[in-house]
Amino acid sequence: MRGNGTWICALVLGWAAAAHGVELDRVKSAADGGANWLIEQFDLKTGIFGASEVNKLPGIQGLAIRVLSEHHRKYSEPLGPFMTEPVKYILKQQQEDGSIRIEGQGFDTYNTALALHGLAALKNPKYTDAISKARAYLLTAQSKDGGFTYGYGFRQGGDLSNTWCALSSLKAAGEKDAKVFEAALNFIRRVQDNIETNPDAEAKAGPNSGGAYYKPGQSEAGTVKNRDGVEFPKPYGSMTAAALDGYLQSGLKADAPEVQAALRWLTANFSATENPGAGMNGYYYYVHALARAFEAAQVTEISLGDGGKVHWADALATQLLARQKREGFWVNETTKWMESDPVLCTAYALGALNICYKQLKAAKK
Amino acid sequence: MRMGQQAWGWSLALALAVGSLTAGEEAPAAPPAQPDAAAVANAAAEKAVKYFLSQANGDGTFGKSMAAKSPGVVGLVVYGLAKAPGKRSPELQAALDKAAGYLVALQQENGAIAVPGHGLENYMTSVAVMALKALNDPKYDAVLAKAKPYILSSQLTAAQGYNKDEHYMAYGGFGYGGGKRADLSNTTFSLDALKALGMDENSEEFKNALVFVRRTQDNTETNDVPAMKEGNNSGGFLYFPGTGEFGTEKNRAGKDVPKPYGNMTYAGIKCLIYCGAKPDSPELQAAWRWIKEHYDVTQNPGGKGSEGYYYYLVAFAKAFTAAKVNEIDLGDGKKAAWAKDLALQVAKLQKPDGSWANEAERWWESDPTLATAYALIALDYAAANLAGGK
Repeated sequence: MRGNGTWICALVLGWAAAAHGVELDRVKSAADGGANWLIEQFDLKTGIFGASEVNKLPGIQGLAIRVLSEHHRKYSEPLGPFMTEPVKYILKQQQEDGSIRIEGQGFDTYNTALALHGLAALKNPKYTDAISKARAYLLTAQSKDGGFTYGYGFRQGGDLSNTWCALSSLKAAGEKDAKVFEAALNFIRRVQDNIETNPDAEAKAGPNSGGAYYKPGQSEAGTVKNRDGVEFPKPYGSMTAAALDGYLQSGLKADAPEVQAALRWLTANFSATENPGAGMNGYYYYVHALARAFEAAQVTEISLGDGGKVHWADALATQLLARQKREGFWVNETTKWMESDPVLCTAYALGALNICYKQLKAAKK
Repeated sequence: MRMGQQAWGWSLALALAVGSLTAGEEAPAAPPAQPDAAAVANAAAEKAVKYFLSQANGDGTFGKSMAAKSPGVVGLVVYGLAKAPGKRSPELQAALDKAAGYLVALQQENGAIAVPGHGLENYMTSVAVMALKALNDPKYDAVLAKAKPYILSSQLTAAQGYNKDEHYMAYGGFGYGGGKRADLSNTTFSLDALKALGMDENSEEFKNALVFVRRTQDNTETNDVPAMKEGNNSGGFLYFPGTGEFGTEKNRAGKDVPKPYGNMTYAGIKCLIYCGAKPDSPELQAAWRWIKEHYDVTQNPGGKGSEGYYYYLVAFAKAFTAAKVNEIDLGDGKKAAWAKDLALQVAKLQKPDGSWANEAERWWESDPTLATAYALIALDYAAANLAGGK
């Protein structure tokens, strides 16, 4: 018998992993199991993956499309309605102004960015017009500070999460305007605890860890005290990974001090079992962002504080495999940031696992 | 492992000659007689049957691996045992009845004969249908009738939202049952089962399947899929349009294109025939051209090492049987009698206890229950062909 991962999950667990590191075939099977589950959530009647309210967001559909297109099986439209119909759904949600969103649901930047990223990933010339319109809209969500906001009604002050998401999509959609990326760089510098490169006066008092947080002066993970006992926004894993990837997408090189500092934080605080600094909050967002950031930084092995070394792709894949449900999906019991939704978590996890699989395959050669 | 038929003949001749000389006798003047392939096939099959009887667990399953509990593996064993040459012993009949009961008990509400949630439902069901049908006992008719619509539901057509033009990599093919993807491997098992249930090329289902099968062939003349227009026009087949399982090769323009290989090409030939393609059709002509260039009983040509070898043997034997071909012309005056070649090679790989196992783990062929089931099925077909030739 041939083919698919569920067999392995179900029947051949006994043939489990080698003593060192996760077996490549098991990673591949887990990626197949995740993709199969996601595809099974596609409903021909609605044309989308999943049936929850959250699943109606075009951004979630775009994310699912993208991770399937990045999968080792290279899913594309000719393979079935589970690819063509969500794309049609996304295109149907595109507004006059180019945004891809449902009126009144908010998250305009996220939705447009993730939907755009999905369309761009398919590399189908049929979507060229929709892509350029969405791109034009996204640029209007870039605030004067260089960060991207939630979109309408949130013109003031960007945040790193919207910024990273928008930058990734713009880059994938072929955005070339250097000013967009320069402005974004200036914003990301202001959310990193790195005295040398953060221009803000308040930031000069930080512990200088290299980690990043949500907005200038604000973390979603609470505060830390600096040496003088002054409270300071607490950096955490998902945002530091977003900062690292955002820097690289905006044109910084690996030896830039900002990049080096972010890498230093992610290495010193490396965790495959939680979003460091934020516990299980945003765990799947973190693994997805971290895999993308480390891949972009061309990092393979990282040195831990205790002198040991870890292959991050191996560590992430091991944890993702351990957390995958028998049916193939992932879900976070910590519900913050919509991670109680299995379609969203599975898309994030699959996005990370696709990268881990590529990395581990390359390392084996 | 890679020794071809002629080399085998030579080494046998050499062994006999050396043996004779060592014994201090004169070397035989005439070349040694070829071993009787029919006798070899029958003996190897008999040993395999004994092996399975020794592995019967009492609950209808065979062997000790985790995969041995799978209805797909049990089904393949039953199919192999049911078609084995020679008279069926009471002990074998009892084991078959038990195993059939195991399969029947696994039938689900929707008709699938599978373990819910374990995946591969369509493979399992198709194999179980072939197995139960091979027992030729009307008491399984109701189970078979219930399984048929399940298998048909795995075909990706308009009812599932698939459109011939838009979804050209899947339309008409059969999938795993849940994953909503189609491939030639699931398709070949499904068509086998449906044909056993009496369906044929005149049905809409087989006509739709033909659309898919043709699109998996590296044959620009008959393949309308854009991604398949750049191949080497070799006539070989892939897993599904645009994708193989053994990587790529260069086309004449130096571009990487998916590489056709043996198990899918033999599966493709059988499917084409089941779907009504005539021997002189451009599809079958092209496929046989590929086979002539890649004829091999020692490995899955175009594959990697011994990966999928036992699956390959089954596809090989079934394709020649469906085509009613006993011998093929390899060119340069060379001819190959597939059943003889297969029987001699497979018998050589049999372990003393009657089993086979693949060194390569891929597709679970390192599991002796699965590999032995495949080898026995291949031998059954070879033995039937050799017996018919007498």
